[in-house]
Amino acid sequence: MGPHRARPPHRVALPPARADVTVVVDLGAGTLKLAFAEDGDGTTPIAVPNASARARGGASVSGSALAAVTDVNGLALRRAHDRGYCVNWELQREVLREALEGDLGVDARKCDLVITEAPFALPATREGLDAMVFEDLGFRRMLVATPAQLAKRYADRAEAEDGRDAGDLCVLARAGVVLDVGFSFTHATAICGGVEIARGIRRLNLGGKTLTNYLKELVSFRQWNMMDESVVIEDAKEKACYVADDVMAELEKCKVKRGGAVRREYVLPDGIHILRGYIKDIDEGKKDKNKNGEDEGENDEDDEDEDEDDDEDFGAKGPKRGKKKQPKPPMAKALKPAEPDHQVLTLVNERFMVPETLFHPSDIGARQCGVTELVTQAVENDDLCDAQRALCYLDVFVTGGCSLFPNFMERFERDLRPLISESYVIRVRRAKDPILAACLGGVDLARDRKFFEENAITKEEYLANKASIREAHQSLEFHPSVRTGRLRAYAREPTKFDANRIKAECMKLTPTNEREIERASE
Amino acid sequence: MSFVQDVTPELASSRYGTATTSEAAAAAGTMTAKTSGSGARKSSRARSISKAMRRVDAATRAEVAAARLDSFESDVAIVPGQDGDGGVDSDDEEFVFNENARDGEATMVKGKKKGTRTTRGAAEHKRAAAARTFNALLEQSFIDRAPKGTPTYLTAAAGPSKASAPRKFCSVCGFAAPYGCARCGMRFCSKKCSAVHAETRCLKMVG
Ligand SMILES: [Zn+2]
Ligand SMILES: [Zn+2]
Repeated sequence: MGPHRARPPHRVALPPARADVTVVVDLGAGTLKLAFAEDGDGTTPIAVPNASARARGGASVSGSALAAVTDVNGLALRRAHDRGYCVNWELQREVLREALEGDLGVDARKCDLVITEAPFALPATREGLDAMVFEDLGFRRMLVATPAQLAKRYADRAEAEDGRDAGDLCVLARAGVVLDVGFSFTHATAICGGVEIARGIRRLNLGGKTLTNYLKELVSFRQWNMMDESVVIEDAKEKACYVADDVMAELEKCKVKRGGAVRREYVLPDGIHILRGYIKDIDEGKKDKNKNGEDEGENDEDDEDEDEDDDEDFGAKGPKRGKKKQPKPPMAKALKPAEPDHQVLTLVNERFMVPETLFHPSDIGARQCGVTELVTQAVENDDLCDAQRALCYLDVFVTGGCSLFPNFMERFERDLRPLISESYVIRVRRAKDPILAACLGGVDLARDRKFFEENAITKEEYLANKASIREAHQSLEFHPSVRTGRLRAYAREPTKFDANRIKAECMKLTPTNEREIERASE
Repeated sequence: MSFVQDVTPELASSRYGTATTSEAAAAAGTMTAKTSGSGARKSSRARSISKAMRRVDAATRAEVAAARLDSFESDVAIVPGQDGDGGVDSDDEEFVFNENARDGEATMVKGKKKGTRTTRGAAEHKRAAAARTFNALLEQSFIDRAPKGTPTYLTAAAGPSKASAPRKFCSVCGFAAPYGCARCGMRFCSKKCSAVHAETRCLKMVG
């Protein structure tokens, strides 16, 4: 009896909430990314779904609890965003509060904030953000930046990773293009002198979510009805899709029996034995396991190894095998009825036709150009002179989750070159972690305390000037004169270059020297 | 193409229903009905689809295609009670496909909308009124009346491609498609795919 009473309480006291810190939030429509500026360069932001869902028990879950939901079948997500912009601030507030308090353990009222807002947010959307941050959550100070500004800030710092250093022309001039292939949409943003060019921001209404919905439609027409399985299909997309070098050639490859080498089978989660889907091993005979693809047999074997004594009790689990640790001979597997309980989704040309829409939106009937032309539309606007355009093309920085499709960058770079006049030198690179780039850029920005404080707006300032801030939002001015906490330039005064200097620098980078550039950047 | 047939009927029995029949295709079709049910756009969409059934000209074709794109852009198919604040016209007529049609070309039967929408509880309606859609916000913002030359959400939209012409892929199987449907304009590659298209998808499914 006694020992039982002495047992420590189940509930472990939460560590005291962190205070006097700057929280960086990349408020993505699909995923929230959060970090502490104080944790510095080496920090890894937390990424949780920006959604809530009703779990099987009926309780509403969000944040990391949602990411940990075991049965994803038919999981209906509620999102606060529509077409990339928040339309439901009540829901957004709750999801964000859960992430801040539950996952980060902070008291917002004692913190500063760097938060992202998509370009050209509507006046009502801007007002909603202001109200949520100051009135609902009660942050002390807020700085609002676009994902592109923060990604570019990160790009300038990521010097060591790709051979660019602090002396690089684009870093000094604070110039380049950011291509953000996100969840709801894709933006190409031309930046010069640290400032986004208003006419150099171009939007393609296609993103990861569109691709998921498209894949959902395809498989629902062709195989299983997956219309209510967004979570499952998104996972299948991430695990199976890739960008083709040449779509027509790739389609030819699919015309052999059963889709040939392109064919993959995605084992659907059943909510009991398989919680997350995985791609089946291509060659059944070989034992090269997919990293997600531990099949049930393996688990059973582990059980047997651990619980030798209980062996008989677990006998009913499945066909009994020897206890030897050595891998089963291929024949044994072949004789087994091919995993009778597993439903698979067969993916053949869907694997590359779905990401293909990023390059050719017209394939699904969208009357917009693809990601490559989007970059040229952003740079070749009337507000930039020739020298500035040259600078932009010298640093095409790609970020956003969709850039993670295998072969995306190779295809992008190859398709981009013929669209651009040969007089421009093009250098393309991708963020080391395309999902976290903006958040990490925000960390870097917030660590420059003076710069942060100059640009941020305090709660008192907001409350005192609410009416004029509202008016500024309504005015649709790109850089309103009233302080609204929106970031104007992503970094301090850049070095100015005249056209001749840029030309001279570009001359050094002409195609004949390209091999040297490559060597230098390796 | 053969992969469609590789799905064995035995597998179809459990958790996920098959989609090889018109029934599943209908499920895909209802998706649009569900997702499009947001705010004020709902009733006009329903009407536009009805129109598309009667008279298939270039403009309505484009409308149907736009509705499909719209469904792709939707963040979630399931936001309970996102419909409602626009006021749903319960007298909207709905066209139901007669699946027993023999000629492969589904025929339309005029029918009354089923009562699911109108029987929703008042509480749900109230909740629905709070949730809004981006398009509703966009309309309210009047940014289309911004002074000429002001860069806005509307002007930032990328234009169509100048570098490449639209390509043509089969809407059924995904391969290169030399033929287009005379009614709706969607592409198909073969007799087989044409039959599938006519049976399950022509206009009603993508709309
Ligand atoms: Zn076909
Ligand atoms: Zn048709």
